[in-house]
Amino acid sequence: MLATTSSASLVGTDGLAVTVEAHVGPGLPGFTVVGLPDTSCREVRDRARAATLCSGLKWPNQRTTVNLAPSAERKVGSSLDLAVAMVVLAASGQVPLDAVAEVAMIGELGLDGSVRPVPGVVAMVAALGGGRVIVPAGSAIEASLPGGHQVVPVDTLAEIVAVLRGRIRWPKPPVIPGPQAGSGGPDLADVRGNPVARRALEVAAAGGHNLLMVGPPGSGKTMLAERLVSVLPPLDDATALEVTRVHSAAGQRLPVSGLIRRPPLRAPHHGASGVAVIGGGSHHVRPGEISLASGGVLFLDELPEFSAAVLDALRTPLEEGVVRIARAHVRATMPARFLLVAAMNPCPCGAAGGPGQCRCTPAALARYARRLSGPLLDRFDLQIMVPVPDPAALFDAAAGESSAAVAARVADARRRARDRGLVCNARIDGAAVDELAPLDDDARATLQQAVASHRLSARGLRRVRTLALTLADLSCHEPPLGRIHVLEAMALRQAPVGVAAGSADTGNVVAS
Amino acid sequence: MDADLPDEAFLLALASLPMVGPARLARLVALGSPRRTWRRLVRAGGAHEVSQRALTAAFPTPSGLVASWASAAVLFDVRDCWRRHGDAGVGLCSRWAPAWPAEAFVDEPVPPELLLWRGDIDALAGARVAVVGTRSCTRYGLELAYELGGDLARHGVAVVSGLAAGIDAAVHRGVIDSGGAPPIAVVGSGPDVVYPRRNAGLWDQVVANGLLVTEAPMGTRPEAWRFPQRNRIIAALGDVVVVVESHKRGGAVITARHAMARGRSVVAMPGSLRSPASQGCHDLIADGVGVCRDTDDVLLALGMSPGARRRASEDRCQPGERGQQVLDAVGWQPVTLDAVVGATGLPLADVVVLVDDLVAARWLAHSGGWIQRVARSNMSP
Repeated sequence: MLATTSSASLVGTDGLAVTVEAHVGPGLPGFTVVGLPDTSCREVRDRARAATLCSGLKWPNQRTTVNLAPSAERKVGSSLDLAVAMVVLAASGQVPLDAVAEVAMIGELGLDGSVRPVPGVVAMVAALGGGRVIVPAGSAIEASLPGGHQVVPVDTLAEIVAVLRGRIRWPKPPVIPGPQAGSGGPDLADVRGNPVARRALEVAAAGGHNLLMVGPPGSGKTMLAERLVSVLPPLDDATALEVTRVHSAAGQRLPVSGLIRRPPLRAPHHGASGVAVIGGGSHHVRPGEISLASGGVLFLDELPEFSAAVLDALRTPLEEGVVRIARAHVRATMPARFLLVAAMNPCPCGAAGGPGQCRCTPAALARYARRLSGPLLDRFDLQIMVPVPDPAALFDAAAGESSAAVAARVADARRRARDRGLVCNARIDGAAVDELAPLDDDARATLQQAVASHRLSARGLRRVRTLALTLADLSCHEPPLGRIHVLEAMALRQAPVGVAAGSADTGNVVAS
Repeated sequence: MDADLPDEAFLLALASLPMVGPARLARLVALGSPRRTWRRLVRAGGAHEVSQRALTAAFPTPSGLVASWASAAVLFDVRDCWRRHGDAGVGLCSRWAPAWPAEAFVDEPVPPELLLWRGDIDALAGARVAVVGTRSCTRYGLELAYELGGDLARHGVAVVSGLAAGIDAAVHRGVIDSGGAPPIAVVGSGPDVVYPRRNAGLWDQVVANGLLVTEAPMGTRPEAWRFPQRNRIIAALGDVVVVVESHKRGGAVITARHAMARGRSVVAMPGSLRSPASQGCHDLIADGVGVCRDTDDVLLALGMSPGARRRASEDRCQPGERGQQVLDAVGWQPVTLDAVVGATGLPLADVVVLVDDLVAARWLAHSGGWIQRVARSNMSP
């Protein structure tokens, strides 16, 4: 007999709808899976058989063939386990054929017959056409996020067999808890001193400008970067679903309410490999840190310690907002629309020498500076020096402005950018700068003077203008931009003091 | 680690090394940026003999000295030294800084690499007369010095002297008591090391009313060899040098010879031919320097010097209330934008505009991320 049902597999962060067919007929007893299953997928035979027997059902003692269509696409993972077990049961006459054909099912089987959650349920359910979808109870909330499906949470194989035989009622769809109250997280109010860096964070959040912080250890670079997400606006519905889809596909823990509303912060260690940061893998393409940071912040601490190949691979995703992985057997496009924040020491010795005792040789300084390519540095609109705050400021100064106050200004500035038809100001392309960021006479004269005195390059000019536009947005000022905006933009895009000091010995390091 | 310190901090550290005077400091500075030179010393201090030999080859000084510098450098805390100077309100500029009184040192063979000061650097604006003399003076010399100092100050001429005992102290007292132009003192010890102790009150009065200059970092002891070096700065700062009383081989004669070598006017006050305290003066007069009979003789000599034509008045437009706030926050040491924003409490945007205005008006200079004040005296005549 022939049985058919629907299921889904995962390619990168996208779901792939798979039709699972089983034929049980005469011949030598045996079990084959065809349709390009990879190793993890072929193991289904042993899991499905054990689960079936443990659930008190029979495994056919006949020639059994399972086909996974479309057969040209490679299928990975264990999400097809449940569907394979059910079509075999249907083909061997233990479950009604039409009941199995009408529903889709996703889930991994345990040997004891339990149905277990799998990563990527959000994307897989989204790839299915609609109607009833049977999913593991642990993934039920995820499965409800795309909408348009009747989600059926189940715990065991025996339960779903009983449901399909009509012995018990369909389980109720899951109740989605409301969004949790703001889950705290570090607040900008904790930061004392560093007024320039605080301002740079606000501007980065408001305009989506990438930020490079150069400063000695202990100056608060990491502390500042961790607080950037607290001033970003919460994700809108479409972005939240996309972010959740990526995190689900990577098997990351999701919030109780399912949907990720808070912009993610990813801070990979500098030893991370290219595949871990960018995404990839030879058979099973997994999202990398840049995709997990999509919609939020990618923080690279100790930037020059990352391998040069990894850093340069960031350039295309930074421009395009997506990363395209191509392998011999598989191709995937994953979102990578992140705000890049990087921190570095002004020289390699860091805290090794005591205060004021940098032991770096000029050659070491030059090597350190060479690790950052010009094109990568150019992508940082904001380049600031973060000095060690004055000790007096740490003890005496009043707590800084809270994240909530800054976030309100950021949200307002982002709204202005949206009114202009932009996602954020940092994405203004070359041609549109003149139209979107016009200058008044004072500002024009100031910029001309800066270019004439080599404080600003032609390339830096465009970046400064988009930065100035964000500054104007933050102060609720309508273009044309004034001198105050242009000057502050230049102050926030200064060849950082430390690297500039190194560059006196080593040639020009920072492209401004 | 030390990238948030300006080059001046390392210059200060180099100047703090043992047995470093103006000539050795100049040679150290000639090797490259102070930051790099300091790093080489620190590395050598923690390393083996081999690299010390390489170091000795690089530094044109006796090898034992280089080794002692290297071991001193390892233990020296540059940041702490820099902070101590800042906390004490000591102004500081290197030979390349905008606050540098360039006109005073144009003809100086070994100009100081670093000047430190307490008080108001703008006291240097306008004409200056150096009045010098012996420590073991007579009552006659004390009275003349006191009167001359007061007279010159009342004429609006800044009087430079050395804050030593005897004639120097009397000159400064005369200036301060007259309430005229500000007193200027050049000392051989660090700006915080009062020498001689009994001048402590006068020392504070000079700082409060005028300017106290030195090229030695804070904490420097008044070693004997520093005083002839101090004298050359007095000679450089004086448009005219007046010797009130001096022994045959006194320090005041050295100052006068320094001044003559630079083509400055020197005048000497005659005394009794029987007084040993006037012998140096008489020798100078015999060599052809002018005789100083009263204040008018000094003013006459000054009238022929470029100092008389120097503008003492402020020709920069007023910085305004908020501009002044920024100027106060910058002070006389190079600072970062962060520090200015922190000290003024103004938003970054306002600060950058104020800084730009002040740079345009020549109140501030801006280079490599550091902001520094510009002194009035640096204006060309």
